[in-house]
Amino acid sequence: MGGFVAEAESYLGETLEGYTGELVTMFAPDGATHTAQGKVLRETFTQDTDGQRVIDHKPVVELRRSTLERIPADGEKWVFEIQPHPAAGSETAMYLLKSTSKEGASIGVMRCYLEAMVQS
Amino acid sequence: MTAMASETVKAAVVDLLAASCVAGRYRVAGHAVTEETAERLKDSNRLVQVYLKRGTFPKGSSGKHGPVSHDVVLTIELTTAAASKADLSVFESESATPAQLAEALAESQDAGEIADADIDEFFRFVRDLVMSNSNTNLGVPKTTFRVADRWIDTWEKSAPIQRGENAILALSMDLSFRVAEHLSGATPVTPEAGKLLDGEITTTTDEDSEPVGCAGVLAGG
Repeated sequence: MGGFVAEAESYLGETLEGYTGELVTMFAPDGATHTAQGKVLRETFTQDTDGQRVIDHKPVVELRRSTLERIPADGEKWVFEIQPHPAAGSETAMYLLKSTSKEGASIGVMRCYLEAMVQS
Repeated sequence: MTAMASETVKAAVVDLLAASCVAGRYRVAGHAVTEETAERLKDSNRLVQVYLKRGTFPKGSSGKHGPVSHDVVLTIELTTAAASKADLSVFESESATPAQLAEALAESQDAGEIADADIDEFFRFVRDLVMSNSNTNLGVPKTTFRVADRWIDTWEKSAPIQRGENAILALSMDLSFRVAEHLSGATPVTPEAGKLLDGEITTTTDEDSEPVGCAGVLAGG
């Protein structure tokens, strides 16, 4: 990694872990707990046919690959703990990792697509 | 105007499904629902829709004046919704060990996986019900009319779609059967030679009161 790519990766420290960064706790398949700072893109709202608002509990977490102790592999089950609401000190909730994006990998970004869970 | 036999069968299948529903495990609609809403999904995650899809009237097996054979295809569409599941109490526990976390992770289930298993079970239930030996007439009393050749020909599962945190999955099956349809409405009167018939003739006129047409109805038909 060098030149432009290295510079872009270094900026991630500010864009993902700077003032927009939030604590993300990740539970790996082996039961190990990892933490990282990342950017959380929260729920979007859609409308159903009755005009009612539907919350899509599918947040996206952007993380800097270089700060992760272990990168989720395809097909692995991970649970992420994040704050569903951005207010400081608000409660956290658990989300199942649905998939990760390959885009941005060359500049060190990992995008994790999450899905809300209910108690089994 | 009386309902066609195919409509009677559809209503009977709706009643059959509704009567076999235990403790609100699913909802039944006797028509195609355009789109499932989040509000309805909140009440129950399973829906069965029943509607007449197509039919043919085979000319060769129908009488000219008598009942007409009707080969009908009734669609039974199942929809289910599910959210991802895990034992959240383990992840929320401060004292959970890595082994307990790993076990909870291994047992967590993706929404699509749950919806797929759920719709397979739902399909099995509905198919068993419709094809049961006790339902050969599809819920229509045999004294009313007979339903012949009842058979589930095809079924097809759709790709899951995401609505909120739910994965929604649909499975559609085609139930075919044959019934005899009788023409409803007025019974035609066949005139006999040399017999006087009562009747009524209505004429229509234009704005100059000139007759421009007439229509007649024979008594009794």
